[in-house]
Amino acid sequence: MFAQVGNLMSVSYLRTLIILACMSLGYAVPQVAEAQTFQGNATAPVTLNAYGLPGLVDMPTAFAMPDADLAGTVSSFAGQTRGTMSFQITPRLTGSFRYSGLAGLSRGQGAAGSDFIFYDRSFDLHFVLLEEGGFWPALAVGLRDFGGTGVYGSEYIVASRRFGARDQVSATLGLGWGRLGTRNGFTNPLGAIDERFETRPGRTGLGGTFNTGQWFRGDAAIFGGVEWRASERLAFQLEYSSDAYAEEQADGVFSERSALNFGLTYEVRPGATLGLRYLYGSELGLSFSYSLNPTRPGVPGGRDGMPVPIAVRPASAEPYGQAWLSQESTTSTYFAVLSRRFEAEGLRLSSLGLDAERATVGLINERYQFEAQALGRAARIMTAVLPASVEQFELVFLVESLPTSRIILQRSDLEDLEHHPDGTFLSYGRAVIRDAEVSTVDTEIDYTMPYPRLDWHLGPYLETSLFDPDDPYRFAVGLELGARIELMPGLFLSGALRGRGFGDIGDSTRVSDSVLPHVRSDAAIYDREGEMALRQFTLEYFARPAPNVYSRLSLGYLEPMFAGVSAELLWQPVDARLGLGLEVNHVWQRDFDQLLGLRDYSVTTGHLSAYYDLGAGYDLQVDLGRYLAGDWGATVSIDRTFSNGWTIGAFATLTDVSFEDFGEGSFDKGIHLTIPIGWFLGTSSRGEQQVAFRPIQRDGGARLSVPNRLHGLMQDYHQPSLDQSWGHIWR
Amino acid sequence: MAAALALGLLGACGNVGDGLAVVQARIGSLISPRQMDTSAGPNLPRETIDEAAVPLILVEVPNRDASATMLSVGRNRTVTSWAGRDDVGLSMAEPGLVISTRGYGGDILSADIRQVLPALRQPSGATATRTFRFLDGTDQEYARSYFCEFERVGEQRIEIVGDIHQTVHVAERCGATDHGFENQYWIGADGLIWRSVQFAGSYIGYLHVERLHR
Repeated sequence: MFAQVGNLMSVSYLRTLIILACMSLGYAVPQVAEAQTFQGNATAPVTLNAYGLPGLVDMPTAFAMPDADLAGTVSSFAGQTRGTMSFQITPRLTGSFRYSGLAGLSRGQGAAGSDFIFYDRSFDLHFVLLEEGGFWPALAVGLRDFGGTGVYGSEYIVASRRFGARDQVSATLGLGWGRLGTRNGFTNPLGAIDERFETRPGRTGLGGTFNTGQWFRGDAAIFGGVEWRASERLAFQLEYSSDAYAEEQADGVFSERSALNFGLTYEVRPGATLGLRYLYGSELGLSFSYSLNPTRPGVPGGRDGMPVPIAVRPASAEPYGQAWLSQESTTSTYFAVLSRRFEAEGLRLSSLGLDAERATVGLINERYQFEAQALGRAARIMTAVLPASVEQFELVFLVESLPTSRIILQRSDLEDLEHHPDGTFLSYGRAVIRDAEVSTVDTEIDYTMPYPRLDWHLGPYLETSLFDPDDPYRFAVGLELGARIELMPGLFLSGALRGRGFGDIGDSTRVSDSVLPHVRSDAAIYDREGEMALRQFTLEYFARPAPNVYSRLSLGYLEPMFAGVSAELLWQPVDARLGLGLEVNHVWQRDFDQLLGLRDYSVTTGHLSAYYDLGAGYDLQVDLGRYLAGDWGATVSIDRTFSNGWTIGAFATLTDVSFEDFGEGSFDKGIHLTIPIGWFLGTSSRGEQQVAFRPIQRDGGARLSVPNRLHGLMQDYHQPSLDQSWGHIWR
Repeated sequence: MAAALALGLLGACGNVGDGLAVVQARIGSLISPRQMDTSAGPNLPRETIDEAAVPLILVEVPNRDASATMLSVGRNRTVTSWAGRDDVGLSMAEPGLVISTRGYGGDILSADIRQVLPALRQPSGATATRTFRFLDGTDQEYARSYFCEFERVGEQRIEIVGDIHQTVHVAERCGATDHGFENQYWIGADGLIWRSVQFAGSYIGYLHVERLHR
């Protein structure tokens, strides 16, 4: 649907198929990788080039970063600055997003002064076809800037091999097309397959699409280089570049005197590398890259302190006494004691049901990223507080007062397994995890926490706005006051008010040229007029209408730009990989001042969503429906998730809005990350930073940002997530 | 993004969640997560230990230049759990073998030392297999097993805060495919380990444990 369809449909279709087939092969590798380590990732540290991908200086190499590495690179020379974020999506596939500021580049717009900066966004993919081994080198293929406006548009195939007892030297040789085929280019060898490969059509369209009509076409050129790793931290690179920088030289940005580039990289601290380059015989360049890996935290396992030890009941031949149950106000007393002890451990007791032999607690986890850790800590406290006759513990996790899952533990198992060498595995086997609504025996809730309950916060906020060519980074800092009142179980009234202190986020003078209703593209006006903004003011009701089903109803000012009503239903069994949801909203666009006023525009939107856990940490979500501008279409997102809360993913939306009507970028797409704060701290925290960015925000494929969508809330306490976190049960 | 994190850590307040107090206390660790807050147990004089009349141990971690005096906080059959200031703690199986640690980072989740117990009683020529379990970067448990050989080094008088103990010094040499360690035990006539040097995984290193109470 989105390929550039030209006269050469069959050629580009075949090429796309081959590339997609190779990528899906890359996806299959994680399962295999458990049995045999993928050597390409396990050896010497991989140098990142000025494009933020495995390479030498400007040229790529055939290596990959360690699986799940997330790297940010900034490099600059002659006023050409590239900021790239790269992620090792699978052991073989590297993806990156780049934002570049190119000073003095005119792009055919007439003479540009050196103070004119052309801002460019590009996406790259780099795929290792073959890992190094035996007598053969590593082989990789890559697409640079495969969408976008094509400043860096190029493709390559490259081979690299390491030599030496400690892999100190590597040699690379490759063939490049597009920009990488401009120096001493020769007729495309692929022309032997089809002579249409010999010419490369010009860039067409508004960018953002896959310019498949261009891939591997036009002249090709050879590039290559060597790297010598002098020590663990220091490496030297020498390369012959096939990029002639024709456009830059024509614009007078710099003039080259040689095709050779020299580089030096030094790892100042683990993951942080400085690079010094001497490029094209005439320019000095500098680069800095920082990489981290969600699977390599600073403190393995975290540094959480000693939990409450299991209080072992005295051995007794007789069954334990039950007289305690008939005493006055016994449940409220136990509720008070448990509640106090739970709070000390970052848990909140919502309800308690007590029988002679069974206790059921409704539990809210406020601290632990690893849900099993919250479970273990709550169970420990229960052994320390509850009378000996209570043998069965049922812990129900509540999110927004909705029971999600119920985990049943036997007290004897807790006593036996606390210090057992195989305690983690055995406790998992003995725990019973069910949907919270399913109960074998009627349980009365004897005591609950009092309602209404108020939570409030006052704190600073930081808001950013990126990629405006007039000013690529704008920000605002201010104070946010928020409150959330739980009026009765599941019914919440909440609001958040922001007051801007300082920042230039309101300075944009861009006017939207969108032909669609301005559902998102007037963001600049909202920023300008929303100095004091009512971010959100809603009444929400959460319920469990049926087993495995959750529901939400939200009313009010749902997000900064829209107000109205939103209803959602989610079917998600506690142990299933698949979840299905339906959401319907009717909203009015809010006034630019983000206070109580509404504008004329209103729309009914809604989506049918499927959530699927692909395994190995990859999650897929497909949403079909109607978007804010009244367009119909679908969104696909793929996320790579980690047990510690890190999530890195990408999404794209295609609707019935044509690329021309959508405008620059052609269709909505972006990258989102969830960054768990506890990962940096080393101790438990449920705090997270959600970062989502799109190369460009326009009006097609825009979805309502209603808070508390059900899937995200519930899935933490379902079986897959409990499984992943069970290693923390005894912590 | 770093700025956002920093802001989130700094001024916020409210009654929501507990994480903020923890976060503010750990700001230092954002910069160098490997540095543990040292909770140096004061060097307690003998009179104080005796008056306290509760079981006490002293645990030192040479790798971190840290030490803590720990109190017994729980007992589950033959295993005693100990905790010190700043919530570091460990659990030891009778007569004093470390089977888990908490609060140090890279903690031992659990350990199988069932073969070590009889070997300590009759060390000459004894061998044992021991296993530690840790959490990896993806929060999954993994096990490390070692094959260990014991040696009765000899008799030794040791002094712990003014008290003299006649002990037998036993050494345990353990190896795996690519690395190994050596534990030392000074076992009293009562069968209790009065002093020991025990390996607690490569992240923590060795623990020097001394039993302070009589």
